[in-house]
Amino acid sequence: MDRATNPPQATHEVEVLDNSVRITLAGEFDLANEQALTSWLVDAIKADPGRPVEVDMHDVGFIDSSGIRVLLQAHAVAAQHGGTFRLTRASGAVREVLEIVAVYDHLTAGG
Amino acid sequence: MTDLPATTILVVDDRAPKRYLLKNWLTRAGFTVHEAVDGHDALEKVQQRPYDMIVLDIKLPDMSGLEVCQRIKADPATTSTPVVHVSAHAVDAADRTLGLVGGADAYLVEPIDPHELVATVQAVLRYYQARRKAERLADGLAGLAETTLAVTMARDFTELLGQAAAGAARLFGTPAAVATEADTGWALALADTSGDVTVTGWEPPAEDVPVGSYRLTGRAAHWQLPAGWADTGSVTVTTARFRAARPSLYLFTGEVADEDHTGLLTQLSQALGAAAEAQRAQDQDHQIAIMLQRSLLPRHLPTVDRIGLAVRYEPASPQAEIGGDFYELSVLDDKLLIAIGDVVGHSLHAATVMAEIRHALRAYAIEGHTPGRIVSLIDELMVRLLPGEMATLCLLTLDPRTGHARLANAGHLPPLLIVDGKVSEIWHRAPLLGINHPRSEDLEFVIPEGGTLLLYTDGLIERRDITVRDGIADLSRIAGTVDDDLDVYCDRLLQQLTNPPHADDVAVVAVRRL
Repeated sequence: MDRATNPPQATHEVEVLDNSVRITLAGEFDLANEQALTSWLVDAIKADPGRPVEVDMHDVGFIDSSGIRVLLQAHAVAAQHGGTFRLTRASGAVREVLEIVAVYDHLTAGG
Repeated sequence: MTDLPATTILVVDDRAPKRYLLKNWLTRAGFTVHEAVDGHDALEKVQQRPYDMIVLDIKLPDMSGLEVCQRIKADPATTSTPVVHVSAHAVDAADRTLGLVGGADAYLVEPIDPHELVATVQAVLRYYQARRKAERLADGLAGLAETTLAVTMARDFTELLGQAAAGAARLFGTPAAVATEADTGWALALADTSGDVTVTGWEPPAEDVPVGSYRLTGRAAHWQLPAGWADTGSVTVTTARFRAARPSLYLFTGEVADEDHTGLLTQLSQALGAAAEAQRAQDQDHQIAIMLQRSLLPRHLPTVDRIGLAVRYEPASPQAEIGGDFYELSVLDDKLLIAIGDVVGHSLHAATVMAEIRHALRAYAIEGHTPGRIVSLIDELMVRLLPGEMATLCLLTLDPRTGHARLANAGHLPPLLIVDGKVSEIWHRAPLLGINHPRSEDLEFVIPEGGTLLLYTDGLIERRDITVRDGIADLSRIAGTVDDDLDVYCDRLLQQLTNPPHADDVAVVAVRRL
């Protein structure tokens, strides 16, 4: 559990599609890369306010409460800018933890 | 500086009379002289032991002196051995230049004047001795910088002392030990010259260490150094102490006498003392943060008829920041209010948010709201007054006489209900606090007599290598057997599930109907 010295590996990729922006996340997300995740998501939302944002979670292996907080904040930022923000393809441990804190529906509904 | 003892010179010449002459002159000047008869003999001899200088004939039967010199200078082991060429033949400037370009330090041509030979050898040795001193000093300073960096980056006292001892052993080429007062008492790290480190407790000597930096050499046995130190010989002890009220730091090395090294010892002990002070300050900050966080949690457990209660709160290890775990147990009218929660984030700030939530929870509970209503009110309060903060919370009221419980969960892990060894997870799904989301009705259930309800935070079950659901399953497996003493029960769960030092806070609340 050497989180302080070994920040988890995480990457992102942004694709601008016809009617939406897709952000593909990969790796592990926790306190150590909370700020990086925040700027990836918020920058993409603000780059084209109002355009629906989809976050592909398929390659995310782990997310802790700090990461979930960032997703919820990004969801709120998108709503403020008149857009939508939804997660797609969350599975395994990630989906499980989103369900335990009961935000899975909230984050995948595209509200 | 030729008066230094045992300066050994290798004279290389194939002609015996010439060797005899050179040896004679140099021996009379105070040098120890060894001889080699040709190039191969010379190259073999310089591999066997270090020489302070080589006096090398240019024309040897098996190879040229120039080549011998080049080979000596090309080998890292002998590259800083000075070479003086001697030539029997009249040579021109071009030949002499070739010798010097090939790495020789001086070039003498016969007929050789004995005084010139000795003066040349002494001049070259003076230059090399100054150069070696500068190299040693530079090596020492580089080692000092490296060790200082390693101890500054250490995350705890054990690592700090270990890096310090290993660094000192490398620097001085002797076993080394470093001792100071750490967070858990006096500790000493011992490093041998191969870099192996052992850390033990240590009893400092009774005599006081003066403020400043002091060095003394004495018998090793006096200092009660751990086994592994050759306790026969003498030891040099360097101490660093910054203020009278602060603990001192002891640095033990084998006997160090020469001036360059003693200066380095003083510098190293001061750098280590400063790193130890910084580590102490950091540990104290962490302790203060933990004390503050604890002061925000309930001070006493309520006493309730026919209800057994136990709580555990284990802060994260000193290397981790403190977290925002919290619990609440209080009696309201005829009911027991039980809550557990976790504020997202690890910092003193998370702890203060935890305190605000806990106080709001008590205030709303006193007004008589149901758990679900209390959760909604706190959710709204957070969205308005603590924007950006998020927390999980599991809250219930329990009627001690009937065992009737009413529960609202906001994204927290499910409590476990243990009845007759059977464990059930009490799921009530609703989003965590901070996003003002609609919530479902309260969950009502009964804790029968003898039944135990276990609430916990994710520090108890969360590990990178398993999913949360597997973590809950692991807990369920060992939580089914409830010890008669609930304190023993909580301790056992913590012991079996967390591998100290904790990377995260852990809070556990156990409630049993008697």
